[in-house]
Amino acid sequence: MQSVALQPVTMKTNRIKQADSPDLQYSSVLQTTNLSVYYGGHCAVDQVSLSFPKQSVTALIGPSGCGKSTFLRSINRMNDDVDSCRTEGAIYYEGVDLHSPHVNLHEIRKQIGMVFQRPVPFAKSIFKNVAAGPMRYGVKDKKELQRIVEENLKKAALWEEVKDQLHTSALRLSGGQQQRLCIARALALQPSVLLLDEPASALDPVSTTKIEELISQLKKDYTIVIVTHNMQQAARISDEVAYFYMGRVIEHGPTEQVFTNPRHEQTAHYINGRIG
Amino acid sequence: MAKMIKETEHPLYRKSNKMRMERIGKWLTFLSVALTATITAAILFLVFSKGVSTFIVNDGSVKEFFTGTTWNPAEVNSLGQPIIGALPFLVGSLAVTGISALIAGPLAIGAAIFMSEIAPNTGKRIMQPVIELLVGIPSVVYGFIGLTVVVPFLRGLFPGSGFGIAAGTIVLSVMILPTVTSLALDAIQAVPRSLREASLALGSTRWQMICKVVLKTAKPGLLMAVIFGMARAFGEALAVQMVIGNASVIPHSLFEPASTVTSILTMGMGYTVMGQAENNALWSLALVLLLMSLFFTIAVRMIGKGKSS
Repeated sequence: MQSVALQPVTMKTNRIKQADSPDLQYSSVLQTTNLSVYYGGHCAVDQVSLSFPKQSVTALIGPSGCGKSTFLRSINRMNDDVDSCRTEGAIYYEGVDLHSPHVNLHEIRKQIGMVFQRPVPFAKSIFKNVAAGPMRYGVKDKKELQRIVEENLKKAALWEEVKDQLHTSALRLSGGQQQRLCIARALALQPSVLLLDEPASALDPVSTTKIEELISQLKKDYTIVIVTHNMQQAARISDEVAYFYMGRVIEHGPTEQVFTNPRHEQTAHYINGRIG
Repeated sequence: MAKMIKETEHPLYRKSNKMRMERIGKWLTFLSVALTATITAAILFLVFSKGVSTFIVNDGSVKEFFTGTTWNPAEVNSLGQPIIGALPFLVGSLAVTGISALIAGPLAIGAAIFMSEIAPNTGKRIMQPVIELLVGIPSVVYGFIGLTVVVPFLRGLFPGSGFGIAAGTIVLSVMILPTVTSLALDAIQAVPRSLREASLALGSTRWQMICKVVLKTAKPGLLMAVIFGMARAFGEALAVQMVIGNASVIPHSLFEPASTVTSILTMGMGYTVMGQAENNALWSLALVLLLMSLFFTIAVRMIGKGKSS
């Protein structure tokens, strides 16, 4: 019941895929072609073409202000709500152009989940935070909600710590717990892509380790795109790395290759800490 | 110990202008706060001592004050107590305050949502200045408009003179609407952008985001806005007095003349002599107003505290 209710668009879209973008590799669930994002006259993302393979972690790295967060936010169209922001180029998700006027914006955000830099739990109980998404899509059955909450708190490796206080305020949790709660909240909508915008940068080392372990776990089921400033983190958890500089992708490739044998001198400089 | 340095020798001992400025600044601010505190304490003392003397000096009954329905403090009843049944005014005050909060509260919150969420640009450029302008209109103007527009309008629609709780409520709702809207707007705008984005990222519609996240997060602030409005409505004298009819009875409908604590106070002030039972009874009403405003202030503080924890 649940999965049918939550994924009505996916089935249909497979067929459109071939017609719309024949060059799309089967294994990449998400792809951008010449994506540019402007804030007023300023070009924050400049003609970025990237594809994100299924069930892998892609890390977006680069100095502050290089456009990687903006790029990430344009994937689930969060920039729609920013005044003066204009987007050009295309984003294909399972072959569907996300900028098509016929696409349901809310459905996009349901299937492409997002976790932000700072943990943003709602001022509600832990239970209601996780249940918020499914409830907004009409899941009312209490048992079903309970199952969803438990399942996703387990996925986010938070269940053991909070199972006895599900109905206390989420604001009482520590920062690291709050962030895992936010991940559980995003997972509760059964997305297939997770966008993580520096999810561990506001956390202490122990919490960071937990989040990283979690990401490695989640990779089995989800396609993950993560923005990070932490080079070691990118090296540890990602399969592919894209290095952004001044709104452009300078280098994109398998993590090992980019870190050990970068093709561009600039990438090497950044990784070694000489830019940024 | 090293060689002692005389006080004048080392620059660290030198007195400077800056030290004097510091002292003057400290004293100036202290004097301001001392003056304010003294005046407040004096007012509190005066109102308390005068208000209580109805019951101590003039043998008034506290029970009669809160439950009696006849107000005639110049006369005494068979027990020799002044007749000070203030219930009609208390009911009148609570009724106009409560109903106008019920009318103005939702309207104000709706307007604040529109200004902040639906049309933030128009809201900021046009509506917010207009609302702030409305906040500054003196209450006598609202009362005057009530007298010339609302009362005749009600007279045409319902039996009676048009004066009454309904007229007072309408005038008060309009009067507190801008205040409550302005405060509600502040509360809604204080909800961090990150929370809104988190909600939208879950695929919420804008309406879901407003209902489930924005209003929920702003709830203490919205409650404070409404309570501030109620405090203003409860304490308002002039505008209400002009339209409520000023009959010291408990009305049977919203369209019969009634009165509030404040309206009786303003009506009676000029006709009593200091020290008389009549005058003391008015001070008791003032004491009630003071305690009510204290209650509103404490309520707002408690909500504010709950918000921060």
